[in-house]
Amino acid sequence: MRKALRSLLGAVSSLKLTVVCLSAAMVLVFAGTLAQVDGGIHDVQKRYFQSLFIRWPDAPSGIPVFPGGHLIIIVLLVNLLTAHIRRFRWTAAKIGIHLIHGGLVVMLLGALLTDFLAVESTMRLSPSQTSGYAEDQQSCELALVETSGKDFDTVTTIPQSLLERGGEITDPSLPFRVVVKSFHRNARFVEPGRSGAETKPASTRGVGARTAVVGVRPATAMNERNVQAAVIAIEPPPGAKDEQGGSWLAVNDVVDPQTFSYGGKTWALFLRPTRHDLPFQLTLRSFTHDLYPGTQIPKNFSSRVLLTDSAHRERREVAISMNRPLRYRGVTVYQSGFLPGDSGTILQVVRNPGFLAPYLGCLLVGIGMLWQFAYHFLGYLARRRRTA
Amino acid sequence: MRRFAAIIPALALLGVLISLCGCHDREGVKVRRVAKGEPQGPVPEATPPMAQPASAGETGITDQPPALWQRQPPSPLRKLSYLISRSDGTRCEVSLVTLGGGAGGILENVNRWRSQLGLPPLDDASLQKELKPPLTTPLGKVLIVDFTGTPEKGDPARDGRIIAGILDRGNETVFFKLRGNPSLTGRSQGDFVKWIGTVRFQP
Repeated sequence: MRKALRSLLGAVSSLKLTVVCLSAAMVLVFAGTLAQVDGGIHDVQKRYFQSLFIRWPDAPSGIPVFPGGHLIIIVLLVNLLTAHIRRFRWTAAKIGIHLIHGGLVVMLLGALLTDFLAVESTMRLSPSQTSGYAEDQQSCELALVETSGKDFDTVTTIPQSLLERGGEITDPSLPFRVVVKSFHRNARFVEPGRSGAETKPASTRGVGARTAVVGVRPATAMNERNVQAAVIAIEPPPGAKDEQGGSWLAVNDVVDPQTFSYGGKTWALFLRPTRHDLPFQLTLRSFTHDLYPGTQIPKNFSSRVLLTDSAHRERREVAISMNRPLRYRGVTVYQSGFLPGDSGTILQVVRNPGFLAPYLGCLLVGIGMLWQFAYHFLGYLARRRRTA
Repeated sequence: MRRFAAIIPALALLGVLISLCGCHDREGVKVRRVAKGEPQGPVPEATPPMAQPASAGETGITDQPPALWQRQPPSPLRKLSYLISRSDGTRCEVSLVTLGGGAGGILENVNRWRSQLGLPPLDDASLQKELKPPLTTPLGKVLIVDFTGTPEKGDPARDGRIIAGILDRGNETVFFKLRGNPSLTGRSQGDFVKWIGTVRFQP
């Protein structure tokens, strides 16, 4: 037993494992970079770097063919910590090494923290418009809006991950079951009966009653976007009175609400980009888009916004421009673009609890290297003086 | 023994991190209460600074829009899309949508537009009274409707009036729609009618 533990500890903390991990990381970066020729940056990032394994074919049931970024980081972390604890010596000569290793640990943990917790989204504002949420254009959610309240609507959202899984979705806020018949990450719409296998209308009610839906390969280029579509059925819960809800085609492109009645209340359904609530609200006061004289080349975009945070009694005007983001309550808001015809602004909203990790990691590594260099250099000078 | 003990926290860390990897994608159903009037639908995609709208040729449709209309990228449902905006913040959207067959019938579509403006539905008889004189174009006769209302959830600077044209092409129905601020929609009606006359479908 002891022998087995010793050999396990030896393997986990070995320098060979470090070299294997670093080599695998190099191969992964190379393969991931090449994969971006055909795949979009977001898909490649998810498949190669934010996964435990790269699978073939690319599906949860695919066979793992190579370690993904997360697995390499985790093994490197364990390898580094185990080796460090095992060979730890508290001497002045080793302080620099400890600091360098500490910095690496902070950077590796920061990378994982960013992958797990960071959220990037966009906020679009027209002059005088106020918003307290930002949208993630890479994913969608099904919003079911119950509109019978006098002052408020109740919005129940179902994330894309649940829609992709399919099957039945229930929630105490919903008096019915949502049955996902199909979900397409990118869809096109054709006249029923015209295109091969898809001969039937997508749904019995709403926009889908007049069109068939066909799944197509997800878009990968930066200037293309996917139009997600879901066919869902509204069905009564088991044992409840049979109330015909029908089936609906929800498209992340249809702005107009599709409404239905259930249980004496009116509901509207939308498929829309995933919304992330913010702890504050922004109102666009003005937006400027400067060009270099005589050209159409953008020189500067800037937005003047009113920041309102009633919980913290904060109310002030802020200017956000290309290199001057707004940082407030863990959220960073960057100037990102503009709406067609300069009719408004597009802000990028980033929430990354691990944003300090790379700075802290680099600082520790830098101090550690400086310490090691200074310690050995001063030792060398002392030895030289003694010899002289 | 101290050396063996070192492996325990490292393995515990490994377990925690791997389970985090497995869990971080799991999201659930969320419920929010929002103030009435807050738009809940998707906002039409904006033009990214570097992206160019697709040419009309890619959609199989050619047209000659007025100079001040800003072409928007087409989407699966909107074959052509334009934005008309003014410096006072008012705006209108122009769209061309084609749907197979009868597209659910004229009455159903007209009533859907009316509901978007907070207007009561029409029956067949009252629809006939609401139809404006049809527009004669090289593609055929385009039925015209014009409604003004107060949308329950809408910004008056951007919504409140719909002028729409309906063209039956046999195997598909074409919808031309001008929707937005009532005053700007009225001022854009002439351009809209002229534009409908320039639309051609490539064989």
